[in-house]
Amino acid sequence: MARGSARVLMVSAEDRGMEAAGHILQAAGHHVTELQIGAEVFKWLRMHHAEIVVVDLHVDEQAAAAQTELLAVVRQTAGTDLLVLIRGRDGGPAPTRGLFQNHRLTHFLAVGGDGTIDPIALTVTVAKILTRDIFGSERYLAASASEWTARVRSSGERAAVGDAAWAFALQSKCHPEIARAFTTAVDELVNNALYNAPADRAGKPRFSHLSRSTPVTLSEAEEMLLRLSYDGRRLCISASDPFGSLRPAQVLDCLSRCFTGGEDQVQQGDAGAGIGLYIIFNFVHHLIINLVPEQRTEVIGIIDVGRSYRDYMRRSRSFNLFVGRAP
Amino acid sequence: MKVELADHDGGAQARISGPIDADAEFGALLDGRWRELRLDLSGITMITSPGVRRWMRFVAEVPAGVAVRLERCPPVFINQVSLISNLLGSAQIESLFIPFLCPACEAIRDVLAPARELDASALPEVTCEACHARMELDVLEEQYFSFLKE
Repeated sequence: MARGSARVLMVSAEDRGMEAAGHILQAAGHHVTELQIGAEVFKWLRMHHAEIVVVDLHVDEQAAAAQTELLAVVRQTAGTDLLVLIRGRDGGPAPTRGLFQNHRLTHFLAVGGDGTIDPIALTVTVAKILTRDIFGSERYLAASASEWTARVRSSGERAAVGDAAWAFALQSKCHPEIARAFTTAVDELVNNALYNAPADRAGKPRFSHLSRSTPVTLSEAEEMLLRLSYDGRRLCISASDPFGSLRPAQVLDCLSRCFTGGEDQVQQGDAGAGIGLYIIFNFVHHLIINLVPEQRTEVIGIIDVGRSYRDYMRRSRSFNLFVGRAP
Repeated sequence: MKVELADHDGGAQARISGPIDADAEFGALLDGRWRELRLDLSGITMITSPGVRRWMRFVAEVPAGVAVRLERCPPVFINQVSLISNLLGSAQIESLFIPFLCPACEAIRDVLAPARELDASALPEVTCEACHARMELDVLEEQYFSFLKE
Protein backbone atom coordinates (compact mmCIF):
# COMPACT_ATOMS: atom_id res chain seq x y z
CA MET A 1 0.00 0.00 0.00
CA ALA A 2 1.36 3.43 -0.92
CA ARG A 3 2.71 5.62 1.87
CA GLY A 4 -0.03 7.73 3.41
CA SER A 5 -2.82 5.55 2.07
CA ALA A 6 -4.91 3.27 4.21
CA ARG A 7 -7.50 0.54 4.05
CA VAL A 8 -10.80 2.14 4.94
CA LEU A 9 -13.99 0.21 5.68
CA MET A 10 -17.11 2.28 5.16
CA VAL A 11 -20.25 0.98 6.84
CA SER A 12 -23.57 2.44 5.84
CA ALA A 13 -26.90 2.01 7.56
CA GLU A 14 -29.01 2.00 4.41
CA ASP A 15 -28.99 1.89 0.62
CA ARG A 16 -28.21 5.54 0.02
CA GLY A 17 -24.78 4.78 1.46
CA MET A 18 -21.87 7.12 1.51
CA GLU A 19 -20.94 7.30 -2.15
CA ALA A 20 -19.61 10.85 -1.95
CA ALA A 21 -17.39 10.10 1.04
CA GLY A 22 -16.16 6.88 -0.60
CA HIS A 23 -15.22 8.70 -3.81
CA ILE A 24 -13.36 11.40 -1.91
CA LEU A 25 -11.30 8.86 0.03
CA GLN A 26 -10.57 6.80 -3.09
CA ALA A 27 -9.44 9.94 -4.88
CA ALA A 28 -7.12 10.62 -1.95
CA GLY A 29 -5.47 7.24 -2.58
CA HIS A 30 -7.13 5.12 0.09
CA HIS A 31 -8.40 1.58 -0.46
CA VAL A 32 -12.09 1.72 0.33
CA THR A 33 -14.43 -1.18 1.02
CA GLU A 34 -18.11 -0.32 1.35
CA LEU A 35 -20.55 -2.55 3.22
CA GLN A 36 -24.03 -2.19 4.58
CA ILE A 37 -24.38 -2.74 8.29
CA GLY A 38 -25.11 -6.36 9.22
CA ALA A 39 -23.45 -9.70 9.81
CA GLU A 40 -21.26 -9.20 6.73
CA VAL A 41 -19.44 -6.33 8.45
CA PHE A 42 -18.47 -8.38 11.49
CA LYS A 43 -17.33 -11.22 9.23
CA TRP A 44 -15.20 -8.76 7.21
CA LEU A 45 -13.65 -7.33 10.36
CA ARG A 46 -12.65 -10.84 11.53
CA MET A 47 -10.86 -11.55 8.26
CA HIS A 48 -9.33 -8.17 7.37
CA HIS A 49 -7.71 -5.20 8.96
CA ALA A 50 -8.79 -1.61 8.36
CA GLU A 51 -6.84 1.36 9.65
CA ILE A 52 -10.06 3.37 9.75
CA VAL A 53 -13.71 2.35 9.90
CA VAL A 54 -16.13 5.04 8.77
CA VAL A 55 -19.67 4.58 10.05
CA ASP A 56 -22.77 6.39 8.81
CA LEU A 57 -24.55 6.82 12.13
CA HIS A 58 -28.24 7.64 12.27
CA VAL A 59 -28.27 9.76 15.36
CA ASP A 60 -31.72 11.13 14.72
CA GLU A 61 -33.27 7.76 15.43
CA GLN A 62 -33.01 5.31 18.26
CA ALA A 63 -29.49 3.96 17.87
CA ALA A 64 -29.89 0.54 16.38
CA ALA A 65 -28.34 -2.28 18.36
CA ALA A 66 -26.21 -3.22 15.37
CA GLN A 67 -24.75 0.27 15.20
CA THR A 68 -23.91 0.33 18.88
CA GLU A 69 -22.38 -3.13 18.66
CA LEU A 70 -20.35 -2.11 15.61
CA LEU A 71 -18.98 0.98 17.33
CA ALA A 72 -17.98 -1.15 20.32
CA VAL A 73 -16.26 -3.76 18.14
CA VAL A 74 -14.32 -1.15 16.16
CA ARG A 75 -13.17 0.63 19.29
CA GLN A 76 -11.82 -2.60 20.74
CA THR A 77 -9.91 -3.46 17.57
CA ALA A 78 -6.23 -2.62 17.93
CA GLY A 79 -4.86 -0.38 15.22
CA THR A 80 -8.28 0.66 13.96
CA ASP A 81 -9.67 4.15 14.38
CA LEU A 82 -13.30 5.13 14.19
CA LEU A 83 -14.73 8.04 12.21
CA VAL A 84 -18.47 8.62 12.30
CA LEU A 85 -20.48 10.55 9.74
CA ILE A 86 -23.69 12.13 10.98
CA ARG A 87 -26.62 13.72 9.23
CA GLY A 88 -29.68 15.46 10.55
CA ARG A 89 -33.27 14.85 9.57
CA ASP A 90 -35.27 17.19 7.32
CA GLY A 91 -32.33 19.50 6.82
CA GLY A 92 -32.01 20.28 10.53
CA PRO A 93 -28.84 19.82 12.54
CA ALA A 94 -28.04 16.33 13.76
CA PRO A 95 -28.40 16.06 17.54
CA THR A 96 -24.95 15.59 19.00
CA ARG A 97 -25.79 14.97 22.64
CA GLY A 98 -25.76 11.18 22.33
CA LEU A 99 -22.46 11.21 20.48
CA PHE A 100 -20.72 12.35 23.64
CA GLN A 101 -22.96 10.76 26.25
CA ASN A 102 -23.54 7.34 24.75
CA HIS A 103 -20.65 6.79 22.42
CA ARG A 104 -17.92 9.17 23.65
CA LEU A 105 -16.93 9.74 20.06
CA THR A 106 -13.72 11.61 19.33
CA HIS A 107 -14.27 11.97 15.58
CA PHE A 108 -17.52 12.84 13.83
CA LEU A 109 -18.17 14.83 10.67
CA ALA A 110 -21.42 16.30 9.44
CA VAL A 111 -23.00 15.12 6.21
CA GLY A 112 -25.59 17.22 4.40
CA GLY A 113 -29.11 15.92 3.94
CA ASP A 114 -28.24 15.18 0.29
CA GLY A 115 -25.21 13.09 1.28
CA THR A 116 -22.62 15.77 0.58
CA ILE A 117 -19.63 16.07 2.85
CA ASP A 118 -16.87 18.65 3.05
CA PRO A 119 -14.04 16.93 1.13
CA ILE A 120 -11.36 18.96 2.89
CA ALA A 121 -12.63 18.08 6.36
CA LEU A 122 -12.86 14.40 5.40
CA THR A 123 -9.44 14.04 3.80
CA VAL A 124 -7.68 16.12 6.44
CA THR A 125 -9.35 14.15 9.24
CA VAL A 126 -8.34 10.81 7.76
CA ALA A 127 -4.77 12.02 7.11
CA LYS A 128 -4.44 13.29 10.68
CA ILE A 129 -5.78 10.03 12.14
CA LEU A 130 -3.27 8.07 10.09
CA THR A 131 -0.18 10.20 10.54
CA ARG A 132 -0.73 11.75 14.00
CA ASP A 133 0.66 14.92 12.44
CA ILE A 134 -2.13 17.01 13.84
CA PHE A 135 -1.25 20.67 14.26
CA GLY A 136 -2.14 23.58 11.99
CA SER A 137 -5.36 25.17 10.79
CA GLU A 138 -4.07 26.05 7.31
CA ARG A 139 -4.90 22.65 5.85
CA TYR A 140 -8.61 23.19 6.49
CA LEU A 141 -8.70 26.35 4.35
CA ALA A 142 -7.98 27.49 0.83
CA ALA A 143 -4.36 28.57 0.30
CA SER A 144 -5.46 32.12 -0.47
CA ALA A 145 -7.00 32.67 2.97
CA SER A 146 -6.50 36.06 4.58
CA GLU A 147 -5.08 35.95 8.07
CA TRP A 148 -4.69 37.94 11.28
CA THR A 149 -2.41 36.71 14.04
CA ALA A 150 -1.61 37.83 17.55
CA ARG A 151 0.54 36.59 20.39
CA VAL A 152 -1.40 37.09 23.61
CA ARG A 153 0.30 37.17 27.01
CA SER A 154 -1.92 39.28 29.19
CA SER A 155 -5.58 39.49 30.20
CA GLY A 156 -5.29 43.23 29.51
CA GLU A 157 -5.11 42.44 25.79
CA ARG A 158 -8.52 40.73 25.67
CA ALA A 159 -10.57 43.78 24.72
CA ALA A 160 -8.29 44.67 21.81
CA VAL A 161 -8.30 41.07 20.61
CA GLY A 162 -12.10 41.02 20.81
CA ASP A 163 -12.35 44.21 18.74
CA ALA A 164 -9.96 42.74 16.17
CA ALA A 165 -11.95 39.49 15.98
CA TRP A 166 -15.21 41.40 15.48
CA ALA A 167 -13.67 43.52 12.70
CA PHE A 168 -12.12 40.43 11.08
CA ALA A 169 -15.44 38.56 11.06
CA LEU A 170 -17.32 41.53 9.58
CA GLN A 171 -14.87 41.62 6.65
CA SER A 172 -16.42 38.34 5.54
CA LYS A 173 -19.79 40.14 5.24
CA CYS A 174 -21.33 37.44 7.41
CA HIS A 175 -24.53 37.96 9.40
CA PRO A 176 -23.83 40.10 12.51
CA GLU A 177 -24.95 37.24 14.77
CA ILE A 178 -22.33 34.99 13.17
CA ALA A 179 -19.73 37.70 13.80
CA ARG A 180 -20.88 37.80 17.46
CA ALA A 181 -20.57 34.01 17.71
CA PHE A 182 -17.08 34.18 16.19
CA THR A 183 -16.03 36.94 18.59
CA THR A 184 -17.44 35.07 21.58
CA ALA A 185 -15.58 31.90 20.58
CA VAL A 186 -12.35 33.91 20.30
CA ASP A 187 -12.91 35.39 23.77
CA GLU A 188 -13.54 31.91 25.23
CA LEU A 189 -10.33 30.59 23.67
CA VAL A 190 -8.24 33.53 24.85
CA ASN A 191 -9.63 33.13 28.38
CA ASN A 192 -8.90 29.43 28.24
CA ALA A 193 -5.29 30.01 27.19
CA LEU A 194 -4.72 32.67 29.87
CA TYR A 195 -6.53 31.10 32.83
CA ASN A 196 -7.12 27.36 32.29
CA ALA A 197 -4.09 26.22 30.30
CA PRO A 198 -1.14 27.49 32.38
CA ALA A 199 0.17 24.82 34.72
CA ASP A 200 3.26 24.52 36.90
CA ARG A 201 5.93 21.83 36.46
CA ALA A 202 3.87 19.39 38.49
CA GLY A 203 0.93 19.93 36.14
CA LYS A 204 -1.05 21.89 38.72
CA PRO A 205 -3.22 24.68 37.26
CA ARG A 206 -1.85 28.12 38.11
CA PHE A 207 -4.71 30.46 37.37
CA SER A 208 -7.87 28.42 36.83
CA HIS A 209 -9.12 29.25 40.34
CA LEU A 210 -8.99 33.00 39.64
CA SER A 211 -11.93 35.12 38.61
CA ARG A 212 -11.62 36.01 34.93
CA SER A 213 -11.60 39.64 36.00
CA THR A 214 -8.31 39.13 37.91
CA PRO A 215 -5.38 40.26 35.74
CA VAL A 216 -2.86 37.61 34.67
CA THR A 217 0.31 37.89 32.58
CA LEU A 218 2.24 35.01 31.06
CA SER A 219 5.92 34.89 30.17
CA GLU A 220 7.03 35.16 26.56
CA ALA A 221 7.53 31.39 26.37
CA GLU A 222 3.99 30.82 27.63
CA GLU A 223 2.08 33.14 25.31
CA MET A 224 -0.77 31.88 23.18
CA LEU A 225 -0.78 32.16 19.42
CA LEU A 226 -4.11 33.27 18.00
CA ARG A 227 -4.71 33.00 14.27
CA LEU A 228 -7.90 34.18 12.56
CA SER A 229 -8.41 33.20 8.92
CA TYR A 230 -11.00 33.60 6.19
CA ASP A 231 -10.87 31.92 2.80
CA GLY A 232 -13.99 33.34 1.20
CA ARG A 233 -16.18 30.60 2.59
CA ARG A 234 -14.97 29.73 6.05
CA LEU A 235 -14.01 31.76 9.09
CA CYS A 236 -11.43 29.99 11.22
CA ILE A 237 -9.99 30.51 14.69
CA SER A 238 -6.86 28.72 15.83
CA ALA A 239 -5.72 29.16 19.44
CA SER A 240 -2.52 27.44 20.45
CA ASP A 241 -0.80 27.28 23.84
CA PRO A 242 2.42 25.57 24.96
CA PHE A 243 0.94 23.74 27.97
CA GLY A 244 -1.08 20.80 26.64
CA SER A 245 -3.00 20.70 29.90
CA LEU A 246 -6.38 19.77 28.42
CA ARG A 247 -7.15 16.09 28.88
CA PRO A 248 -9.15 14.06 26.33
CA ALA A 249 -11.40 12.58 29.01
CA GLN A 250 -11.95 16.04 30.47
CA VAL A 251 -13.13 17.32 27.06
CA LEU A 252 -15.60 14.46 26.58
CA ASP A 253 -16.85 14.63 30.17
CA CYS A 254 -17.40 18.35 29.87
CA LEU A 255 -19.30 18.19 26.58
CA SER A 256 -21.34 15.23 27.79
CA ARG A 257 -22.27 17.05 31.01
CA CYS A 258 -23.14 20.29 29.24
CA PHE A 259 -25.31 18.57 26.65
CA THR A 260 -27.26 16.86 29.43
CA GLY A 261 -28.44 20.31 30.49
CA GLY A 262 -28.95 19.37 34.13
CA GLU A 263 -28.36 21.31 37.32
CA ASP A 264 -24.60 20.83 36.92
CA GLN A 265 -24.49 22.12 33.34
CA VAL A 266 -22.99 25.37 34.57
CA GLN A 267 -20.72 24.95 37.54
CA GLN A 268 -19.91 28.04 39.55
CA GLY A 269 -16.17 28.42 39.92
CA ASP A 270 -15.65 25.97 37.07
CA ALA A 271 -11.99 25.21 36.50
CA GLY A 272 -10.64 23.84 33.28
CA ALA A 273 -12.88 22.77 30.42
CA GLY A 274 -16.36 23.91 31.32
CA ILE A 275 -19.31 25.67 29.80
CA GLY A 276 -16.91 27.67 27.61
CA LEU A 277 -15.99 24.62 25.54
CA TYR A 278 -19.67 23.80 25.12
CA ILE A 279 -20.37 27.35 23.94
CA ILE A 280 -17.53 27.14 21.42
CA PHE A 281 -18.78 23.76 20.16
CA ASN A 282 -22.20 25.24 19.51
CA PHE A 283 -20.96 28.51 18.00
CA VAL A 284 -18.73 26.92 15.34
CA HIS A 285 -19.51 24.24 12.77
CA HIS A 286 -16.34 22.25 13.20
CA LEU A 287 -14.44 22.09 16.48
CA ILE A 288 -11.02 20.46 16.32
CA ILE A 289 -8.88 19.93 19.40
CA ASN A 290 -5.27 18.94 18.78
CA LEU A 291 -3.20 18.09 21.77
CA VAL A 292 0.02 16.59 22.95
CA PRO A 293 -0.35 16.24 26.72
CA GLU A 294 1.90 18.59 28.67
CA GLN A 295 3.36 20.05 25.48
CA ARG A 296 0.85 21.79 23.31
CA THR A 297 -2.86 22.36 22.76
CA GLU A 298 -4.40 23.82 19.65
CA VAL A 299 -8.13 24.48 19.43
CA ILE A 300 -9.52 25.21 15.97
CA GLY A 301 -13.04 26.46 15.30
CA ILE A 302 -14.39 26.74 11.76
CA ILE A 303 -17.59 28.50 10.71
CA ASP A 304 -19.02 27.99 7.24
CA VAL A 305 -20.34 31.49 6.63
CA GLY A 306 -23.10 30.44 4.21
CA ARG A 307 -25.90 32.58 2.88
CA SER A 308 -28.00 33.28 5.94
CA TYR A 309 -28.15 33.05 9.70
CA ARG A 310 -30.66 30.21 9.36
CA ASP A 311 -28.13 28.27 7.27
CA TYR A 312 -25.57 28.82 9.99
CA MET A 313 -27.96 27.46 12.63
CA ARG A 314 -29.12 24.53 10.52
CA ARG A 315 -25.72 23.05 9.73
CA SER A 316 -24.75 19.98 11.74
CA ARG A 317 -21.67 20.19 13.90
CA SER A 318 -18.42 18.28 13.37
CA PHE A 319 -15.88 17.40 16.02
CA ASN A 320 -12.39 15.95 16.22
CA LEU A 321 -10.20 15.30 19.20
CA PHE A 322 -6.68 14.34 18.14
CA VAL A 323 -3.95 13.25 20.49
CA GLY A 324 -0.73 13.46 18.54
CA ARG A 325 2.98 13.30 18.66
CA ALA A 326 5.13 16.22 19.69
CA PRO A 327 5.50 18.87 16.97
CA MET B 1 -21.37 45.80 30.92
CA LYS B 2 -23.34 48.93 31.64
CA VAL B 3 -26.60 49.17 33.64
CA GLU B 4 -28.72 52.31 33.24
CA LEU B 5 -31.26 52.21 36.00
CA ALA B 6 -34.48 54.17 36.61
CA ASP B 7 -37.25 53.90 39.20
CA HIS B 8 -40.60 53.08 37.66
CA ASP B 9 -43.38 53.01 40.29
CA GLY B 10 -41.26 51.06 42.76
CA GLY B 11 -39.92 48.76 40.11
CA ALA B 12 -36.55 48.99 38.43
CA GLN B 13 -36.45 49.79 34.73
CA ALA B 14 -32.91 49.01 33.60
CA ARG B 15 -31.15 48.96 30.27
CA ILE B 16 -28.27 46.51 30.13
CA SER B 17 -25.70 46.98 27.39
CA GLY B 18 -22.27 45.74 26.36
CA PRO B 19 -20.76 42.32 26.98
CA ILE B 20 -21.97 40.17 29.86
CA ASP B 21 -18.63 38.78 30.93
CA ALA B 22 -16.48 38.29 34.02
CA ASP B 23 -16.84 41.97 34.89
CA ALA B 24 -20.65 42.01 34.76
CA GLU B 25 -22.01 43.57 37.96
CA PHE B 26 -25.71 43.25 38.87
CA GLY B 27 -25.50 44.52 42.45
CA ALA B 28 -27.61 47.64 41.80
CA LEU B 29 -30.54 45.41 40.87
CA LEU B 30 -30.28 43.34 44.04
CA ASP B 31 -30.41 45.97 46.78
CA GLY B 32 -33.84 44.90 48.00
CA ARG B 33 -35.81 48.05 47.18
CA TRP B 34 -37.34 46.87 43.90
CA ARG B 35 -40.73 45.14 43.66
CA GLU B 36 -40.12 44.26 40.02
CA LEU B 37 -37.18 44.26 37.62
CA ARG B 38 -37.84 45.17 34.00
CA LEU B 39 -34.63 44.65 32.07
CA ASP B 40 -34.13 45.91 28.52
CA LEU B 41 -31.47 43.57 27.13
CA SER B 42 -31.31 44.97 23.60
CA GLY B 43 -27.83 46.44 24.10
CA ILE B 44 -26.11 43.15 25.02
CA THR B 45 -23.30 42.44 22.57
CA MET B 46 -21.90 39.14 23.88
CA ILE B 47 -22.37 36.62 26.68
CA THR B 48 -19.23 34.72 27.62
CA SER B 49 -19.02 31.68 29.89
CA PRO B 50 -17.97 33.76 32.96
CA GLY B 51 -20.86 36.05 32.03
CA VAL B 52 -23.24 33.08 31.97
CA ARG B 53 -22.16 32.25 35.53
CA ARG B 54 -22.57 35.83 36.72
CA TRP B 55 -26.01 36.12 35.10
CA MET B 56 -27.18 32.85 36.64
CA ARG B 57 -25.93 33.94 40.06
CA PHE B 58 -27.84 37.19 39.60
CA VAL B 59 -31.19 35.57 38.71
CA ALA B 60 -30.74 33.10 41.59
CA GLU B 61 -30.16 35.97 44.06
CA VAL B 62 -33.25 37.97 43.10
CA PRO B 63 -35.42 38.02 46.25
CA ALA B 64 -38.49 35.79 46.22
CA GLY B 65 -41.58 37.69 45.07
CA VAL B 66 -39.65 40.06 42.81
CA ALA B 67 -40.66 39.43 39.21
CA VAL B 68 -37.92 39.68 36.59
CA ARG B 69 -39.23 40.61 33.14
CA LEU B 70 -36.84 40.55 30.21
CA GLU B 71 -37.65 42.94 27.39
CA ARG B 72 -36.25 43.44 23.88
CA CYS B 73 -34.08 40.33 24.16
CA PRO B 74 -31.56 40.24 21.30
CA PRO B 75 -30.59 37.08 19.37
CA VAL B 76 -27.29 36.87 21.26
CA PHE B 77 -29.29 36.37 24.48
CA ILE B 78 -31.96 34.08 23.02
CA ASN B 79 -29.24 31.83 21.59
CA GLN B 80 -27.71 31.35 25.02
CA VAL B 81 -31.15 30.62 26.47
CA SER B 82 -31.47 27.76 23.98
CA LEU B 83 -28.08 26.35 25.02
CA ILE B 84 -28.08 26.86 28.80
CA SER B 85 -31.00 25.13 30.44
CA ASN B 86 -31.32 27.26 33.59
CA LEU B 87 -30.25 30.61 32.20
CA LEU B 88 -33.65 32.22 32.75
CA GLY B 89 -34.24 30.99 36.27
CA SER B 90 -37.59 32.48 37.25
CA ALA B 91 -37.23 35.39 34.81
CA GLN B 92 -39.80 35.77 32.04
CA ILE B 93 -39.09 36.81 28.47
CA GLU B 94 -41.59 39.55 27.61
CA SER B 95 -40.36 40.47 24.14
CA LEU B 96 -37.55 39.52 21.79
CA PHE B 97 -35.95 40.38 18.48
CA ILE B 98 -36.43 37.86 15.68
CA PRO B 99 -34.01 37.84 12.70
CA PHE B 100 -35.59 38.03 9.24
CA LEU B 101 -33.99 37.85 5.80
CA CYS B 102 -35.25 39.23 2.49
CA PRO B 103 -35.04 36.43 -0.11
CA ALA B 104 -35.00 39.03 -2.91
CA CYS B 105 -32.32 41.53 -1.87
CA GLU B 106 -30.80 39.70 1.15
CA ALA B 107 -31.47 42.61 3.49
CA ILE B 108 -31.62 41.54 7.13
CA ARG B 109 -33.76 42.92 9.92
CA ASP B 110 -34.41 42.03 13.56
CA VAL B 111 -38.10 42.44 14.32
CA LEU B 112 -39.35 43.02 17.87
CA ALA B 113 -42.22 40.73 18.92
CA PRO B 114 -44.02 40.12 22.21
CA ALA B 115 -43.25 36.62 23.50
CA ARG B 116 -46.75 35.88 24.72
CA GLU B 117 -48.20 36.12 21.21
CA LEU B 118 -45.64 33.85 19.65
CA ASP B 119 -46.13 30.37 18.41
CA ALA B 120 -44.88 28.67 15.31
CA SER B 121 -47.99 29.56 13.30
CA ALA B 122 -48.29 33.17 14.41
CA LEU B 123 -45.00 34.81 13.54
CA PRO B 124 -45.17 38.43 12.40
CA GLU B 125 -45.39 39.13 8.69
CA VAL B 126 -42.46 41.32 7.74
CA THR B 127 -41.93 43.36 4.58
CA CYS B 128 -38.49 44.34 3.35
CA GLU B 129 -37.98 48.08 3.76
CA ALA B 130 -35.64 48.11 0.75
CA CYS B 131 -37.49 46.13 -1.92
CA HIS B 132 -40.91 45.47 -0.29
CA ALA B 133 -40.64 41.70 -0.71
CA ARG B 134 -41.96 39.50 2.07
CA MET B 135 -39.10 38.64 4.43
CA GLU B 136 -38.43 35.13 5.69
CA LEU B 137 -37.66 33.95 9.18
CA ASP B 138 -33.86 33.65 9.45
CA VAL B 139 -33.62 31.26 12.40
CA LEU B 140 -34.47 27.64 13.14
CA GLU B 141 -37.84 27.90 14.88
CA GLU B 142 -37.38 24.80 17.02
CA GLN B 143 -34.12 26.10 18.44
CA TYR B 144 -34.78 29.83 18.63
CA PHE B 145 -38.20 29.57 20.25
CA SER B 146 -37.33 26.64 22.52
CA PHE B 147 -37.82 28.90 25.58
CA LEU B 148 -41.56 28.99 24.83
CA LYS B 149 -41.82 25.33 25.83
CA GLU B 150 -40.43 25.98 29.30
